[in-house]
This record gives sequence, structure tokens and C-alpha cells, in this order.
Amino acid sequence: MIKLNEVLSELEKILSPNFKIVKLDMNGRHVYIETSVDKLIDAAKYLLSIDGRLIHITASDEGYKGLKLIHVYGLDHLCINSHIILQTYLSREHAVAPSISKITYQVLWAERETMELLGIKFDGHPDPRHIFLPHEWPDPVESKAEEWKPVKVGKKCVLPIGPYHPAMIEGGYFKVKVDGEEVIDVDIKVGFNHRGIMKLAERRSFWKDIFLVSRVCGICNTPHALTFTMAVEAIANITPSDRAQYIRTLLAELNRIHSHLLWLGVAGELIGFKTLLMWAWKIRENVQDCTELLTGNRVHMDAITISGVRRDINDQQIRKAREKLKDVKKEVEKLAEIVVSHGIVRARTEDIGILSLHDAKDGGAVGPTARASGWKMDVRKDNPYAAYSEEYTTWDIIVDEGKDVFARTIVRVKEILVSIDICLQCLDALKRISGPIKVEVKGFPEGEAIRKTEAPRGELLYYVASNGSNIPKTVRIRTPSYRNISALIFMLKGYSLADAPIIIGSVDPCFSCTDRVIIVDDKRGKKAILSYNEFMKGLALKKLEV
Amino acid sequence: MIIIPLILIPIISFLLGILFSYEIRKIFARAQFRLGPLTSMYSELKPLLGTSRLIQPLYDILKLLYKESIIPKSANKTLFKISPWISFLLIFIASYFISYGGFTLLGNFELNIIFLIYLIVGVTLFWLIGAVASGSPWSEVGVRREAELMFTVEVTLVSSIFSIAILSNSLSIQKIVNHQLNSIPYIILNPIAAIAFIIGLLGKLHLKPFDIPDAEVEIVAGPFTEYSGKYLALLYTSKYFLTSILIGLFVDLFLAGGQILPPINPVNKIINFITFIILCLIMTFIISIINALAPRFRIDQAFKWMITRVWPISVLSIILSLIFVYIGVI
Repeated sequence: MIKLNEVLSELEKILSPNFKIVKLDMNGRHVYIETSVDKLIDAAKYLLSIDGRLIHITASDEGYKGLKLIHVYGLDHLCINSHIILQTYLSREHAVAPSISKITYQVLWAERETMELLGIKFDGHPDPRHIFLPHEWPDPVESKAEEWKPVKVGKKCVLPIGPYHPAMIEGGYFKVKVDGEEVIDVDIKVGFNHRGIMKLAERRSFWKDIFLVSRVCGICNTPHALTFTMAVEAIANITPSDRAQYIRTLLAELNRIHSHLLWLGVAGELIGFKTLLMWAWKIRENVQDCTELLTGNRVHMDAITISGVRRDINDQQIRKAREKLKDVKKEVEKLAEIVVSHGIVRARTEDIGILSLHDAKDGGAVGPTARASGWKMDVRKDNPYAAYSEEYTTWDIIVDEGKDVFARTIVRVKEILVSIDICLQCLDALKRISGPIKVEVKGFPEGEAIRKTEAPRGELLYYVASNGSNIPKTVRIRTPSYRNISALIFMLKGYSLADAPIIIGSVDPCFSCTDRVIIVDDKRGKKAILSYNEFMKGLALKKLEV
Repeated sequence: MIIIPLILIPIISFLLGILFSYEIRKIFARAQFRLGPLTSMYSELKPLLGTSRLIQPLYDILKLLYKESIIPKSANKTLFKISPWISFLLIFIASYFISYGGFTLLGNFELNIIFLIYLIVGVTLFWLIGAVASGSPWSEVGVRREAELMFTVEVTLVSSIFSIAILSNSLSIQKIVNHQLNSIPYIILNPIAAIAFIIGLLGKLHLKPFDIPDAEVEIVAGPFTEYSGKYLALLYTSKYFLTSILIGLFVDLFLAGGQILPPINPVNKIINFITFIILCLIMTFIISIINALAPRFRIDQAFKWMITRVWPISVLSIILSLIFVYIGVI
């Protein structure tokens, strides 16, 4: 355990004389520090050496002040609620910052995103390719695109998994290089579904944004709405009532149950167990019914709003929901028994796609993926929000030391049971507690805030800044799949092609929330980029000699 | 008189293949709380075929006949076009060898089981040749898997067939059936051979857990990836034939071909034929249940499993047959 004060005093020594605490939030646990560009690498080295996490790098346009580069460090898995937010102002004409991705892998994509969106250049970035745009997009736009030519490195077969592939419903493109059946290299291109939600959110009012951000991902819509709302509430200094907190927790957990059941089904299909898919989705129907009962909608709940929730839950609904959830619990237990004891399921998932704890930390895995690698990390405990803290509900973090696909399955299956438990506790509490579901909102003052929640796929981060109007100045989203997909590169190499779909599936990739990603193995020097046309041809080409 | 079985047998075989494929799909669906094949037919074909869901597999083929056959640029066109035809031809001929409850054309002559084995191997082989000729990387991986699977599965299948041939001291399918009428069905004498045959059958028909060559989430459709339209219809047809022939062969070899009555008059013959179909349906039910309740093996796991677990069973079945022959039970 470390103390935030010690970290801050050490950081002051490193950053001095450019060390200025500009804001404290969350009872002094979120520390916003303004510093200069040249000290960023030293700060990163120190904060990562004490086992901190670099959650996200982003930037915001501050008008005449220049571009504000924001590094969000999380220490919450070491010391409750602690976050350090380093801010630096860069001039618009010469926006150059040192790249942190040399020190740690996890920010590779975040820096590329910032490069793409705000034009900040990162010195020494190992892979400064486009992240949203196609690889071959000319830079600057006026110049002519270079034609793609294959680079010959021996005789290896290249298989395109995606963007349109039966294993993936959404558009992600995994260029898998195989030698026989063995995967020897992977190149990931995501970003076939970029919708520019962060920009759209800066054009709408706070109230409309809730519905916009819950459309980032259909499956984990409530955590998105909840996180955005929490950030806005932090700016406006609003505390929702206990009853609203319980309802929020209930809805977020229902979301997690249905997301995990959906994942279990998809995982079953990826190992060729179609029956498991149908069984899991049959159980999921009950959860959907429960959601419909409580909020009126089956998937997009849209029940959360600033200062509370939009709908109350009455006693009759509580009773019906309890019955449904108890049925679900029984069936999930049965299903878990089948999954755990089935010989072929174990054979297909054990010792596959191993992600060691070191790689998980360096690659920045979050959520069930990290917990299955033995990393005890859960935003609900580290950073309690809604009704997750000790005084509201009692539950434990599920951790597994298996590190493989089977461990990730077990973690998710157990989490379903834990979630059902939390839901039942919330329903009990809702019977007891009465009170308003909304409180009054008196405008949105100038300010900024970061908030995190545990979405079904892992840690979800929102950075929201307001300039005093009813439209947010900046909205930045860091989705969990963003990290988990980038960590896939550690899991895929060395395993069989037949394992590739289940390994990709095991992190529960959500391309609609990731939406904008590319990774390339930077350890290998030579790489070839397929243009869209080349890719379309690639399917018919006998062997791409890459 | 030869003309009647010459025309009738392939039709029976094909229709049985459709029936069994339907059953496999239906049970697969019911195990998953789904309804299974439900369809509406093209309106112009309704008077011809009716609206029964039983022949959904046939509708699938008819639909493909409406479609364009695309031949990829990278393909070796001659091989790509000709190999579905050859595989169809081989399995078409193979249908004459099976004894459909005593109704057969080529089931009687000696050594026909050897011919049948070659024909069945040939079907898979020409699927592979066509797939290689297509030049798609997906087909390539599928072919590699299919070849590995074929290697292990054929050994199991052939050794199981031979252990029955040893028991009956004959290499003719009809004679094996007649032998069982005189003594008892061989499934009672040599159940190990039956188990080996069922495993081989699952591998041959690409049912779970051996649907590795056409694992759609990994390699799209495996060897069939580049086939479309009429050529795909042809491949499906040969697969339906293969289904009915292998299941029929099981009933012939292990369950006395469904002949419960001596085939002396037409009524007995018809009863025998119906028994044959019922036994086939029971057999299909068993493999459908396995298909519904198993995930897919990885190819190396399947290979290892077949060699370490199933090959010993195959060897054991031959040894068991030899012991029976030696002590003179038969």
C-alpha cells in the first residue's frame, strides 16, 4: 500500500519547479497537476515504477491557451480512489510532446488517437500510423497516396480475419500471418466503424449527451451513460439520493449479467459449441425481460439521467424481478457446471492465449481480462461509485490465477453470479429505502472531472470539461475494449490458428466501442500495409508473400 | 430387370440422405430450444414439392441451382470445375453397393466392400483436389485439416469394417448381412467395432466434434469456401449421398441390414426396407445427439485423440473378431 501524500511529495521533487496543483476532486483523491512538457517522461517513469497505471492520454483544445495534453494516471488499485492527472499546455503552432509508449506499451493507441484527432506529434513514437483513417491515407491529405507493395519475408501465408468474417459480428481486421497452423504474427486494424461520438458530444447539451454516449456501445450502454452522468455531476456538484444510487447499481449489474451471458454464448460458438450459444442466450432472454420490466426497454435502458434516474421502481416490479433473477441464477449455475466439467471445452480453452501478469500490466489489460491474469483490480471496489461501496452492498472481486482463456471464462461466469447477488441486494434495499429519484440541477459551472466505472468489459473512463454553458467543452472516452484489444498481441502469438477466434473472443472485444484502433507488432521491423483494394484482392490471392 | 434398381437406388439413397440430414439438423435445433428447419418454398415449386419441412435440405440444393457459379480468378479452372463432378460420380456409384434392407444392385459380388472403401475415400479426395485448385488461403487451411482428419478417420473406419469382414469371413456386404441373419447382429458380438465406426462416421461427415475442416468461425467454409452455385449444390448432393451411404453401411454391417424377416415375398421385403430406414433413423439420432452436445476439437487435439484413444479401440476390435473366429463362435 502506498500513500497519496508520499507520491505527491516525490512527484513534486521530480517535477519542480513546474509543479502546481490546480484542482482537487473526490475528497482530494483526484489531483490535477499542471506541469511542463519536458518533465512528462520523468513523471511517467516514476509513476509506473510504483506500479501505477497510465490510464489514458488525451488532449483538449483550449482556444488561445493552446492544446491541453492530459495524462491520467491511476493509483486506485493501490490506494483507494487515487488518480493523478498531469496537464500540460502545448502551443498550437508547435504541438510536440514526448512519447510515453517507449516506456510502456499501454498508451500506444492513446497517443496515436491524439495524433490523429488533435495533431499533436509524439516524439519517438514507435508506430505513428493512422488510427481512425485507413493506413494508406495520405498525410498531409493533399499529397498522393503511396501504392502498397508487398514486402517479401520468406514464404508465409497471410489470412485476413475480418473486417467481414463469420467469427466477428463487428468490423475488426486481424491480419494473421500463419506458418502452417501456427500464428506467428498479428496486425490489428480497427476503425471501420468510427462515428465521431466524442465530437458529436461537444455539440449537444449535457442532457442530450446522456443518450448519445449510451449509444457508444449497445451492450454496455448503462455504464457509458452512468460514467458520463457521474462526471457531469462532479462538475455540477450534485449528489444523487440513495434510492437513485441503488437503482443505478441494479441497472448497471443487469447490464453486466446480460453482457457476460452474451459473451459466454459467443465464446461457445467460437469453439464450435453452438448449443452453448443457444442455451446462454436463452437465459439472457430472461435478463432482457427483467430489464424491460424495470426500464421499459430491452437493451438500451436509457434510465439514467443527471442527478438520478428517470424512472422509479415499485414493489410489484421488485417482486417480479426477484423471481426472474432467481431463475436466472439457477440456470446459470447449471450452465456453469456444464462449461467447467465438459472435457472438450476444457481442452479447447485451457493453456491457450496466456496473458502473464507482467504483460497484462504492460499491455494495460482491464476488467475480466486483467482479473483472469491474477490482477486484483475492479473499479467497483477501488473506486466505489453508485451503491458498490461497503456500506451499501457486500460482494467480492473475482480473481483467477489461470491466465488463459478458461480462466477468463471462469471469471466471467462467476461474475454473473456475483452480479445477480448484487442485484438481489439492491432489490432488497429498494424495498427498504424511499426517497426522491432526482434532485434539482442548478446549472453547470465551469470545471472538469474524470470519472470511471466498471463496464462489463472493464474500466471505462470519461473526461468531461465544461465552460459554464449547457454544452460540454470536451468529452473524452476511454473504453475498456480499447485496452484489451491492444493487449491481444501478447495472447495470440505462438498459438494455433484454430485458437485465434477464441483468443480474440476471450477479451470480449467490442469494436463499436473501440472503434478506432490499429496495432502492429513494433518488435518486427518489416510490415506491409494492405490497402482496401489490396485486401479485397487478398482473399482471392493464393499466397500473399509478405 | 436391372434397370429398376439402377434408377431406383440412387433416388432412394439421395432421399434417405435428405431425411437423415434433416434429422441431424432438427435434433441439433431441438437440443438448443430452437424449432429447426422451417421454410416457405418458392411459389413456382410449391405444386411440385409441397410445403413439407422434411425436405429442407433439398430446398437448400434447389436454391443453389438458381444461383450463379462464381469461379475465382486464382483457380485452376479445369480441376476446380471437374472435381465436384468426379466426387459426385464416385458417391453415386457407391450408392449401388449398400443393401437397403435387402434391396441392392452391387451388394452381392465378392470384394465389393473394398470397392466401396475406395469410392468413399475418393469422394473426400476430390473435395480436397477441388479446394486446392480454388487457390483460396481459407481452402488451403481447410484442406490441410481435412487431410489430417482423413488420415486418422479412414484408418478407424476401415479397421472397423475389416473386423466385421473377419467375423463373417466375407468381403461382400450382402453376405455379411445374410451371415447376421443366420447368427446374431454383429453389434452384439463386436460393439467395439461399432463404436469405432461411429467415431469414424462423425469424422467423415464433419459432425461435431470433428467439424474441424469447415469450422466457419476460423476458416469460413474450409474446402468449400470458394464454391458457389451449381458446384456447391453438387458438393452438397454428394454429402447427402455420403450421409445415407455411411449410415446405411452401419446398419448393414452391425444391425443385419434391418432384415428381420426372410426376403421370400414382397410384403416381407417391404417390411425389411422399412425396418432398415427405422434403424437408420435411430442411428442418426445417436450421432445427432453427439453432434448437438459437443464443441469442436482443435485439429491437433483431434489427431492426438484419434491416435491415442481411437486407434487402440480399432485394433482391439480386430483382435476381438480374431478371437471369436479362433474359438469358433461364428
